[in-house]
Amino acid sequence: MSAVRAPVLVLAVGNASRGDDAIGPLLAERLEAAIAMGTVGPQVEVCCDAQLMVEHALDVVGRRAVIFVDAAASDPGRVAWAPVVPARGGLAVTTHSCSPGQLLRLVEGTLGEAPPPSWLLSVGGHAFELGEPLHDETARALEVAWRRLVVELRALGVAVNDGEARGVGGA
Amino acid sequence: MPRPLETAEHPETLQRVVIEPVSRVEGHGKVTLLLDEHRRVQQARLHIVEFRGFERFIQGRPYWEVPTLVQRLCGICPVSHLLAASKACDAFVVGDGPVPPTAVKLRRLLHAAQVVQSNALHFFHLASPDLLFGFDDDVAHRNILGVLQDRRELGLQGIKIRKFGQQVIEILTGKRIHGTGSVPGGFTQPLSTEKRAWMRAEIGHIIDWCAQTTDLARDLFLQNLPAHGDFASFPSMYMSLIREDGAADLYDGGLRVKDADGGIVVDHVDVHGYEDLIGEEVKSWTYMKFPFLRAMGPEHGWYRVGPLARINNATFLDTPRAEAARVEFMAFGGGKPVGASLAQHWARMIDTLHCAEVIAALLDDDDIVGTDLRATGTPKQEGIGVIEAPRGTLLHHYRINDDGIITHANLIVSTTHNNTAMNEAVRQVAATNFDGRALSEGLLNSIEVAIRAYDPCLSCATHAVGQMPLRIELVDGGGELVDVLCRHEDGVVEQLAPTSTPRHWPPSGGAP
Repeated sequence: MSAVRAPVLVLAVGNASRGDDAIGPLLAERLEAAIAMGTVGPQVEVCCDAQLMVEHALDVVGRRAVIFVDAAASDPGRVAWAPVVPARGGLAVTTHSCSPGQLLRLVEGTLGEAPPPSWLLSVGGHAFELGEPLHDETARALEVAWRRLVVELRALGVAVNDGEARGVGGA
Repeated sequence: MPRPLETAEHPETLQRVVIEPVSRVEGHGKVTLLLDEHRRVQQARLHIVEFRGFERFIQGRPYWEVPTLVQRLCGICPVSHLLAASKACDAFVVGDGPVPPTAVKLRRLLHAAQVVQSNALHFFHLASPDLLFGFDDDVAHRNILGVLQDRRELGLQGIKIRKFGQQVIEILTGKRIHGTGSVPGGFTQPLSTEKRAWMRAEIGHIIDWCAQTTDLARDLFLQNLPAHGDFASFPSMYMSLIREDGAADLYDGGLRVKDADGGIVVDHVDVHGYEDLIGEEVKSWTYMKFPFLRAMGPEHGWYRVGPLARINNATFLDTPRAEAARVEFMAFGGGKPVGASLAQHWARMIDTLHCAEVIAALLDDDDIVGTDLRATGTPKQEGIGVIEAPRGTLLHHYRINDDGIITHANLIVSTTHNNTAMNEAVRQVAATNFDGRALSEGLLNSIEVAIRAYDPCLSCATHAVGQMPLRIELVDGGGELVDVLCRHEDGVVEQLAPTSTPRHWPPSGGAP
């Protein structure tokens, strides 16, 4: 149940059946395909889940860098890139949520290790209804987000071929 | 079963206090308290707007896609939906015939793993801060980070138990999320001896941790009596699946309902007759229905489901350490069902221990690595599947046409079964703690604790970044907003002028 870990983790969350919440799974799927085709190097590993949960702390720990990918509930169509730091407070009302910052705090507090440098790549969504397709503007933003993702992966030392970096990769 | 605050005679004259956790985009709940002219609580309503669109999402799809499809309904309990749908759709493949024993055992293993990981998450990361530190502890400390600061090993155990459950799910379904494994008529792939061996090596200390935590949950509940026993405590009926011999069974069986005194109201009811047993009341102020026993009507026929119901209802548990814990739990209630909402956490850990022991027993059974996994029979066009999900009884009901397309779907999820009970819990807390003068953090804390005991599926929806956990609004009888109290994601409480926008709301996400 153990394997050699890639130094960089892309941790994408979302629900592919809830409109623009599919952003995370779609970017994860594209990255996995690119890794399988060799246009993106094996220095990055993809983890995709419906929601961010506490056990993801075990996926995060020991990485050189982590990129969270998620839809955002505001600014439809906007692609945002921001550093994530460990949260210093917060109280969950249900078991149904965990933010990237809370997860990093769990790594620090539970596992006793410094969390890796982390960033959040988010794309603002329009609608999140069950069974809805991806909004047209979100689909366009997805291309922008993909290019941003590969640029950042390259900056983190992941091998990315030139075509992929220009957004014309085969994946 | 009193319902004194449910319906006021003249609601138009009441003031309204709204507590609104705005998690994600549309899946959220809020609490409305309507006050009378003396500013006493007259009505309390927990609104949950999430449960709409399920049936529309499923209808028109081929039945063989449904078990995988319904996993998209909930990011927390996808396996529960997978299994309930598989059981319902078995009828479309095998009719009334059996599913192969190995397939049933693999499904049971999958289900037990799901309950272990979900319950562990709940106790360690949601309930334990309230129980360890008390409701009035500083919110900056009364959270999982506070638990880690004070009881690091406890938090670590919680993560490891949950991780184990997730790994078992991944082994059996082939994927971390939205795998298959269970399909109509059986199971897709056998369990290898190598993976069985890995699980057997791990389960021993998982059981030990669950047993230790069951003791902790008991001690935390008992150490603060009578407060913990009185908090959101009310009489109710309890419903759960039960085996023929009276043992709790989370995967199969008939429905048992006990009353508040422990008397059996109905027993071993065939789940295929659920529509004769259960009605669903519709109310104008919420999307979520209110299930009740038809024979008793909406006012008296409501019930609770979940770990508390399972432990209260069981004649016995068929694993030794969990059974010993159940006996102790029932002794606390003097042989009658325990009605305290906070006892739900104690019951939840007994439930978790039981499932961990069930995993061990299933792994010891050589059938678990059998290869006869799929059955066929004379298909029917209607199927009903019921399981005990972590939060309680989960029911899937489908009909198909001659082409195998779903023409009818009805889902009753645990949170819906508990709808009236959750309202009752909030009413109890509000009637006790709200003085009618001002919105207070203390009231907010207490209502959160009551809601957390049931852990309703408030945000099965999406998980976009940017959320505000709690918002309280004071609205007068004329609909005017007169006061707002917000709890932000970082736990900070902010008092706002009625027309203000909370800081960082909506969140911008950071520089592009």
